[in-house]
Amino acid sequence: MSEEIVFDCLHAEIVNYCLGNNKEHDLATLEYIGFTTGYRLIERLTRDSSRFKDELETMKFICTDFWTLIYKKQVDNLRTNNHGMYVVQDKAFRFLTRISPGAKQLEHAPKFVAFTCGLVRGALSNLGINSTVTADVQSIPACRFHIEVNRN
Amino acid sequence: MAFCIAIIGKDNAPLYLVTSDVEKELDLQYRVHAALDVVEEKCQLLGKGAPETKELYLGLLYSTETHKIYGFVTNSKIKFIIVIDSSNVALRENEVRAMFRNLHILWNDAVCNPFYIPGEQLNSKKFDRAVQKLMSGNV
Amino acid sequence: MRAAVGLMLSHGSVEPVMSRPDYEQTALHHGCLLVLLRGVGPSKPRTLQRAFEKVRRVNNIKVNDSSGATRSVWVRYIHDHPVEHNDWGDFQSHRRVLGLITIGKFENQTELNELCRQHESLKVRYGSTLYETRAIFVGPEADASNHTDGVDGTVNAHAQQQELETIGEHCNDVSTPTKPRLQDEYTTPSNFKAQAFFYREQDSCADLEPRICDFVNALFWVLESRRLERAREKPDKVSLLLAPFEKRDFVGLDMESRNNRKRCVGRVMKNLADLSLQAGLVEDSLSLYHNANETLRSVGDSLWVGACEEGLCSASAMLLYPQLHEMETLHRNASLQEAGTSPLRNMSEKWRASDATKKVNTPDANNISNNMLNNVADTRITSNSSSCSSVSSILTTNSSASGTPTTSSSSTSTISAATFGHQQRNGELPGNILKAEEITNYYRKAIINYSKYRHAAIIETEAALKATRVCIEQNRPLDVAMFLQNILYINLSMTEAERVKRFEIITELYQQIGYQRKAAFFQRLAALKHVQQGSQAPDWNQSYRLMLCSFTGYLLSLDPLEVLENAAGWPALQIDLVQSLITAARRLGHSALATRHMTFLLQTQWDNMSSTEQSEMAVQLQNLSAQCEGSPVPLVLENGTVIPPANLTDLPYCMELQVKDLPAHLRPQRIKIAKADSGPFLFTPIHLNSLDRRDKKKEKNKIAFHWVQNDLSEVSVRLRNPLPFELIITDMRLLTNGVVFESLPQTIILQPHVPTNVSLHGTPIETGQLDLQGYSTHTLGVKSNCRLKHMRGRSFPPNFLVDVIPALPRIDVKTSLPQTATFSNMNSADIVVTSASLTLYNGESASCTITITNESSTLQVEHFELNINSNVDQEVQKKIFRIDEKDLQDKLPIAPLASISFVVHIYAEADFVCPIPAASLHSTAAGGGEYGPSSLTHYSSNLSTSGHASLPSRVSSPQHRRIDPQCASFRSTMSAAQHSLATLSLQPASGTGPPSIGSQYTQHIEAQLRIKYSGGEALTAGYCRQCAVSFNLELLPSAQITSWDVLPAEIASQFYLVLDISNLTAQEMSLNYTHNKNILIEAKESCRVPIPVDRCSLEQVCAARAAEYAENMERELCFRTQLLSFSDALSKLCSTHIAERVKINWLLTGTDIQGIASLRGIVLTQAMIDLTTVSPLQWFISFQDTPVQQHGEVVCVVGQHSMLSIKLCNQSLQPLTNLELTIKFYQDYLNGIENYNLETRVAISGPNIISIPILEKHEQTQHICSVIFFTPGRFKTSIECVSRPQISTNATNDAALLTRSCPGATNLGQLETLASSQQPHLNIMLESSYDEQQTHVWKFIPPIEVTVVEQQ
Repeated sequence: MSEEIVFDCLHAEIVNYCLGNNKEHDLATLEYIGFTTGYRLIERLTRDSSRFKDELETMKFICTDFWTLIYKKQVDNLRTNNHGMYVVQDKAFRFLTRISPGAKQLEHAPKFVAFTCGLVRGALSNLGINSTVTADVQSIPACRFHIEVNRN
Repeated sequence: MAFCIAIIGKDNAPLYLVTSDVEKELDLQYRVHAALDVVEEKCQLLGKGAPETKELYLGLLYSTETHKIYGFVTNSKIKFIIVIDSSNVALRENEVRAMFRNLHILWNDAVCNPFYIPGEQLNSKKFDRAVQKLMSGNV
Repeated sequence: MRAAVGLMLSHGSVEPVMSRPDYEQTALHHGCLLVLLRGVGPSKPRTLQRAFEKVRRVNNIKVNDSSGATRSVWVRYIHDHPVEHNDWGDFQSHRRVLGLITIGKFENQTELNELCRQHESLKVRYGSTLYETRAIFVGPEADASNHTDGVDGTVNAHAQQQELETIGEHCNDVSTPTKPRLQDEYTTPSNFKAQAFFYREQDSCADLEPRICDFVNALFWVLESRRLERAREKPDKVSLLLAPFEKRDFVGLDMESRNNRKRCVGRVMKNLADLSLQAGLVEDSLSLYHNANETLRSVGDSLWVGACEEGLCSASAMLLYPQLHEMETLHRNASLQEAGTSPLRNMSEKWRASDATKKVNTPDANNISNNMLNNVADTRITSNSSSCSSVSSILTTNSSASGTPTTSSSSTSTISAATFGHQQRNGELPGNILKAEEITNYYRKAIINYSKYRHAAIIETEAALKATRVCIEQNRPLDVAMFLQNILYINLSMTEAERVKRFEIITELYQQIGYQRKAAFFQRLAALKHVQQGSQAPDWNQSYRLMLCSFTGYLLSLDPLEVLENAAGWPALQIDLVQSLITAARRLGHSALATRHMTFLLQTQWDNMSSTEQSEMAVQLQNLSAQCEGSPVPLVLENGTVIPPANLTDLPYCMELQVKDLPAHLRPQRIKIAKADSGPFLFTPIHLNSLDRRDKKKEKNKIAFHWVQNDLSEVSVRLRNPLPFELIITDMRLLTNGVVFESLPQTIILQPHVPTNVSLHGTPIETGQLDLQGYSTHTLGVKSNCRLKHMRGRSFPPNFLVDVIPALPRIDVKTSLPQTATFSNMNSADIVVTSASLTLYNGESASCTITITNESSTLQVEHFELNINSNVDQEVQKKIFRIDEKDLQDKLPIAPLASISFVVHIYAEADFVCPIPAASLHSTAAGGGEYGPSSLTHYSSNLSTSGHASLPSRVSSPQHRRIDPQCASFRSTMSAAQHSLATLSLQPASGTGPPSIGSQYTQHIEAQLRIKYSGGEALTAGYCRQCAVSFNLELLPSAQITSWDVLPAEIASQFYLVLDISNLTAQEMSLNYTHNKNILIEAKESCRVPIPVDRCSLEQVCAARAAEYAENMERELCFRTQLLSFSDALSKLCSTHIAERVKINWLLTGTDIQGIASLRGIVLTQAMIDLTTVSPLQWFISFQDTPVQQHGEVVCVVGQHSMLSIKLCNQSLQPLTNLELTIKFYQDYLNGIENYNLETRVAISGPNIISIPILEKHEQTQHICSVIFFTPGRFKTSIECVSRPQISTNATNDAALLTRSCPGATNLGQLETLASSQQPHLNIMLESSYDEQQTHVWKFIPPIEVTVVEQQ
């Protein structure tokens, strides 16, 4: 429990740090921090899992083990169009749970999902999947992550 | 008990290579390099959905009179290669597996070190020491 | 356990085993009839190409057997076959040579005999197994001389035509000729039994193929008969077939034992299977093999079991992969295609034998085998296998020339064959055929079985190779790897050459499955084997070749650029490989190559080497290049491989490359620009720079400025030497494209790690666009072309583009004046080529001769344009410098190497009328503040009394002023002076100059005489050059007018201009102030001089007024206030009036320095102006009816009243308004005190102040009053007329209060008052000029002196 708090606080601080002194809409830094973290972290997390047969398997891993390890819960649903587009839905995304729902708060949501977008992107890229990860928040604390795999 | 331990990146660039005997380093490097073909082959097989190839351990890549060369690939397509002495019959395969598993752990730690830039050559005294232990077989 | 038995059995055998494996063998060869195809005789096989080819083409025939079924019979031609291999014929029948074909060329009988002999000897050699032989003799052309009739099936157009020619030559008999049969001319020796075919050299051998078919046919039938025999044999009385080494083992064994029976039967059955396989009965062979396999396994005859298993594989393979037959030929063909394709080109794509296509035409596989073949072909190693391949290569060269299927097409066909082979056959495939994957297993088993017998090593090796080939076909790389790996385990005693060969084969096979790394690994091994210690006759050539081939495996390319592009592979290995390559090259004695590779190493692996390694390599390179210097040209090996050039682009490391503009004074500029009037600063560098920046943004590599044809141009490079030792670079020059550019070589020495700036020079010879690509160096003994586009990690553009404009003339400028030490701080000082310094006293003038020399030897200066530019404003500048442009233009053009000169006249212009501030004359503050226009009443009274105003009176020298406060007080305020000066003093044009040049300071004037010149094409192109001469003038103060005043002169038409002139020089100055008056002034002294000047006529005044009035009307009334303050036309008029008339010449006595001090800019107060101009009022005054004379004595008696009549007349052109006539009596005590309150002494009847509202022009007015003196004494009367402006109530400026004396007019007539014309004229008021709004005072002077006496 305690280390969860630590994580939350750290994350909050990172957000403040990156978006402090009026570079409000520069989420790139935040996203990048997430990326590097994910990139390194995944090495460790996949240590004991067997090799992934394909993209989908990898995604599943992200949604289950990966998510659980970081957010102490699984995602609520994963959908794909089988053409490299995946939608991960988390009905109570951890970093949003502390924010009270409401239109006013909604505009602040992006700060709190950017890191995770990076995290996922990093993890995937280290697993050999180049992707673009975006997130949208309709109503706090639900969050949908869109993973678009760029195949080339 | 191992001649050589090598870590090779996604793009087959050497990230780390250590040998028990510096004299032989180049020769061993050649051998390790030559082993990559088979490693790639085995990685490819996974796509073809051969069931037995799901584990990270790739087994014996090839062997010569003098050397046995084993391979291992992480999910992030980092390749580990361990060269052991063919004459050493005492060494069982599962011991090799164990070595790989330990190496993997070491590697994970190394990568999670924020000062290490992924894709770069890895040089860390800590890692060296640990790997040396691994090679000499007392882990 | 069986293995143990087997080994035991095979022990102690002394039988000869096969000498060497047949690496070419494939599974399908089991089903082929082995035919030895040999070129015999002296001549090289090339000449027999056609024959060989035709024979080889027949590798499969269809035969209808007795039962009517068609059999497909395959033939395998080999070039060489060790006899002992035949001994294995029982074990595997396809190892027997069944047929012999020799091809030989002869010129004469003896040669023919020789060929026959050789044929016979071969026959004897392989006699044991041969079924049939043929000899093909290629003979000389028939000479036309002997016409013997005869028919020959092989007459061909070609030969015939040749025939015709020959006939033509000899006789004109044109009967269709038939040529004699060779075999009629030449006869084979009697002992020669073989069937022979004779062909002439040019013969196309049309009928050879059918004949070979017959031959094969024959072979088949013999074989068939053998097979049938074998088939008919009774199982019980079959003899034991043996592998050669087994002979000894079975000696004394009981052949009748059940096991051995079985063994015999099994082996025979196996043999039968072999035969039927060769005879084209694949299905039969399959079942036979199966049975044999059963039987033999039961008796544990491992060796033969192995054979059976292998047989099964072969049979199955034949059915499954018939295309393998084509494959081999294909490989050869493929090998010749796209030679020299870059190995790394498709490194990106995965190197896997995913399908047949890739397998066949991976360029590398081809390249390498190609190189190998070629190379072997060149260096004729007669190791039989390779020589056979040499033949093949020859064949392929030829065949590919004659358009046999290209790789792609054929390979695709292969696939199609394969696929369709698969399904289509599957229908009719026998049930007992091995499945694809089974084959591998069977091979494995077979190999295991073989491995039990030391003597079967070669069989085993071959089996492994066959297995490999099948696996390749099946696309099972891992199995391939497995089999190949296994081959290495087999320890067969073989020569080094053999081992090498083995490695090469393995390499080739690995390449076929795209295992580049493994291939490279073995290739390298082979290379090392070639030259390993202790090997007699190390073959560096081969070694070198192999290493070169193994490049791809290590992701190396021969082209450094590509290597740097990819930046892939294992550095350590790459370095090692290249190093050993260098060694090989050195040992080959090919130092050029060695140097090249070392350069390559340095260039490509620099970043992967430690600094020590780097320097070591550098030194090595130096040593290598000492033998053969490297240059950037491709090297071509004898096998056609091209080694592209390697350049040391980063040695030295270029940090910065900058294209330099020409020096400012040579820089070309556009002559005519639309906005040329935007001043002389149109071309200042600042402007250019800004242009630069704009262009840079636009296009990085396009240079904004121009270079000039035949002008030395510069590029500056910043270099760093990354090596720890001094680096010497010789012959460093620019690399250019486009217009011809002559670049000067440069030798530089770079200290370690110290960035150094080097400037490279060159001269464009043509006009147009110059493309700067980089530079070439010669360092460490290697010539390199270092192109910007190849310099990585720096943001260099790929090149620089400079426009070169036509040649411009150059001029040299000299002046007659000494140069300046100081440098001008004016704009565009950089275009200054020379300078001239000059020191002048204000008012002095001098001249400077400037000489222009046209330096260019061809071009003449046609266009020449001057403009002067200085730190003083334009009109002053005009006064200072004067050049006779006209005269100058006449001197043009300046011929090449000629020179012209012109004169610049310089006048030290300064403002002489400038009060000296207290500071400059060391006086204390005592009234020091007051200078300038001053009232000199005190003196004036003196003057007026002592009536010789014309004599100069010394005033105390400035030093003494201090103890003479009076004088001080006479000075008007500095501020006033300053204000007035401000309008006229020399203000610096640009802010840079000296702040204000009051002429009492030494003042510096900087000026640039800018010269624009051009000529030749450039002129037509609209370019010119600009250079400048900078002038440094030092203007010393000379004479100086410190204060001035205006006094009335004796004559009404004149006035005295009284000046205080001080000599600010250090010498005595003689001053000539009017035509004949001179005065000497000590240094730093000052003196006062009166100068009589004609008054300014009323006309001028009016003109001025009119002008001002017009001006005012143009402006809005709202500006009136300004007008009031500024435009004082009249005062200007007066000051110019004075300036024009008064010229003061000064001369420094004892020197010839002289000059003129002008009074320009003198400022006059209102009062002065009134004096300067002719007064508008005319006085007629009479006392007691007697007109008052100038200085006339007037006497009257106490108590007696006397009449005073004053008559005024306005002589000006406009009315005077608001006049006020005042009459005052006073007593002058002649000590400066005047007593005005004389109520007790004198009385005036009537007003003594009369106001006259307006006095129209030429109107007169009169005032009469009577005066009574009560006491005697001397009285004075001051009569003055003041005009007060209506508006200004406070317009009483100090000047107005000052009384003025005005020369009294002569007689005056009747007194009469006039009250007329009282009404004020408002319109006049409105339009009234500044002057009218001043308070004017006109006084009748001198005051009338009245002496009152007692009554007598």
